[in-house]
Amino acid sequence: MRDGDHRRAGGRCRRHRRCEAAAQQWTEPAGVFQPRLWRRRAEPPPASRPASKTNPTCCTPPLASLHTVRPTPRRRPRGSRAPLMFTSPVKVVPRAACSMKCPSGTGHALCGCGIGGQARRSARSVPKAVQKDEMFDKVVEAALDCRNVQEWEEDVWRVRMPA
Amino acid sequence: MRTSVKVHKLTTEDAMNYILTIKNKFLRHPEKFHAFIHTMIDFSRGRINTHTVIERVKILFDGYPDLLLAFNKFLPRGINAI
Repeated sequence: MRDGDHRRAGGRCRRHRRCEAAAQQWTEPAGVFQPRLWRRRAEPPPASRPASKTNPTCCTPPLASLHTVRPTPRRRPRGSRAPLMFTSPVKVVPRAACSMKCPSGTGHALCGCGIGGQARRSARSVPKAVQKDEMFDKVVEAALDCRNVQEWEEDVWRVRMPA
Repeated sequence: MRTSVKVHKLTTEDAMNYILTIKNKFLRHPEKFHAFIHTMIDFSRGRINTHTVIERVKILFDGYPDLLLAFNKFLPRGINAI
């Protein structure tokens, strides 16, 4: 017996001898046998499962399931456009306080943004520079007191006397 | 025995005496004394700063270390001619 004999219509299955009896249940009432178009890979739904205890792999599914009609896909009517996608409004990132208040070309001291004021307040906290030593000024004052033309002339005269 | 150290505070009289000392040192070179006077005048009028004064005095008092040492006493704190 060849391997393909069990696949022919009405042929006995080598592994399942009761396959012929199960196949008779799915034939037309008139007795005409409809050949199977495909081999089932999965179990049929519980409602269409045969009552007898046979291997579901060899059972023929109902003919109604072979002609399953899929729903017609929806199509947009002619002339209609796709729905508009409404997105959230663009968020404007607020600029820095200084950049909004401080016009270009103006320093912080005059623009009123407050940065210049902070700098001025911080500058005020710096202690005043150390006053210059007064001793050096005294030397200067003493030197200026000697700025007497008459006294200079006396010096020149003294230098010329030895000659 | 402890040695007491007294810090003498310079006065206008000390400054005047220092000027007279310079004058006596340069009796034979009055132009140097006049240059020193002019340096002080330029400083008082803001034409030169302290560092420039020191540079000029170093040149004028070259060979007279005692005058430079005495000049140091009248300089502001942290500044020395020598």
